Amino acid sequence: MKEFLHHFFIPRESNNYKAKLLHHTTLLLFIAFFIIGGLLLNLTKTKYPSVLGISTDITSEQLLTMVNQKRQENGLSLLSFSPELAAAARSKANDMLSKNYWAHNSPDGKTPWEFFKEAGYNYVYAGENMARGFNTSLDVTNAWMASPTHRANVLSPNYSDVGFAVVTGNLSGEETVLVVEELGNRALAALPPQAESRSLSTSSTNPREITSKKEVAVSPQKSVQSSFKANPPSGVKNLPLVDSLHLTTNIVNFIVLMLILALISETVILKRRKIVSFAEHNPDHIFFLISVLLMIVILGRGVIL
Amino acid sequence: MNIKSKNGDLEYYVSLIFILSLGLFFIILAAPNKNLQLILVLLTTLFHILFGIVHHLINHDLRIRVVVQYIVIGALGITVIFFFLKGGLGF
Repeated sequence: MKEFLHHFFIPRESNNYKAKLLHHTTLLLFIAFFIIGGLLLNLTKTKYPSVLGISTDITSEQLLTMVNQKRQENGLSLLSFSPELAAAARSKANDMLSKNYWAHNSPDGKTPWEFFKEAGYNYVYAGENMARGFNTSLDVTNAWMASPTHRANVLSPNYSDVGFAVVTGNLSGEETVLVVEELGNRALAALPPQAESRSLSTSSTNPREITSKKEVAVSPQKSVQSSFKANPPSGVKNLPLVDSLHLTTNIVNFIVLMLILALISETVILKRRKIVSFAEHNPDHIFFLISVLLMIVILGRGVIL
Repeated sequence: MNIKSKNGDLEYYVSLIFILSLGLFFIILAAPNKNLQLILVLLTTLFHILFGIVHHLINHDLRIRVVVQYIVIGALGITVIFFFLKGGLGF
């Protein structure tokens, strides 16, 4: 076993002073493995989603609890679940999926606030946070809290109500989980409708204030005190036997790190023994493989808007 | 001669890290557009291969074995991404 490992990882006479792991034939085998393996995993995911798939556990109930927990920690009042805002969030999420876009405003110019109004929520303040590609409610909340603009929305004292939508669908060819959070403060019936303030969360440094005509100097009143009992929470809970994301990440990390280690050991050993070889250019490949691992991290992470 | 060569290598590696970092930066910017990200992965890999080959050409130590090594490791990087996107994310 020791001999086998040496042959695979350590450059020496038996492997022509190049670790067997780095021979072109071995690398070609890895290439074939990744192509066939990727296709087979994809096929298994499609045919047997209960066996292999992405583990996802995001519900609006969990999101409400976590968002309120963050507000409580910051000395703010708790948000109430609003069925109208949840309906607005659902309409927004479905609109994104049907028109295939990922933005606060739709390609035909429809703003989030129109969804509020369509759902019958007459607001004084309104805000929207979105997320996609996350696997747990905690990941979504943490991502929002890590972004200054989204955090400002979550921790804004201007809001009293919130509604969430968690839906799955195909966006730009990718099967993804969309999370839409609509925040608002309901206008009293007697108040003029022009007193509105809205904020979108974008990745820019400050929340984008679209309109801020006049602040209403009245304490917000919660006219809707609906609970999740009357309006079942939306959510996506998919717990397959094997999480494909973890499986592929672990396989990739294991093989690529093994190759990086073999490249490093080859560089060091040949340099020490003063053997002339092509190994002196191994740092090129080490940097490239490290960047491949970073690409995997970037491609696998969720996005907020 | 040796010092000059080492300085040349240093410049080469700094440039290489810059190219790879730039590729990663654009991949971050392209999120969540996976198609665009995939194109950027391919471009970064292509630049890495070409940059390495040109470097060896300038150093007059370009051999077919070196070219094959760059292409095979570049192809390995791309198939790793393919494996993750197809098998992991279901893209």
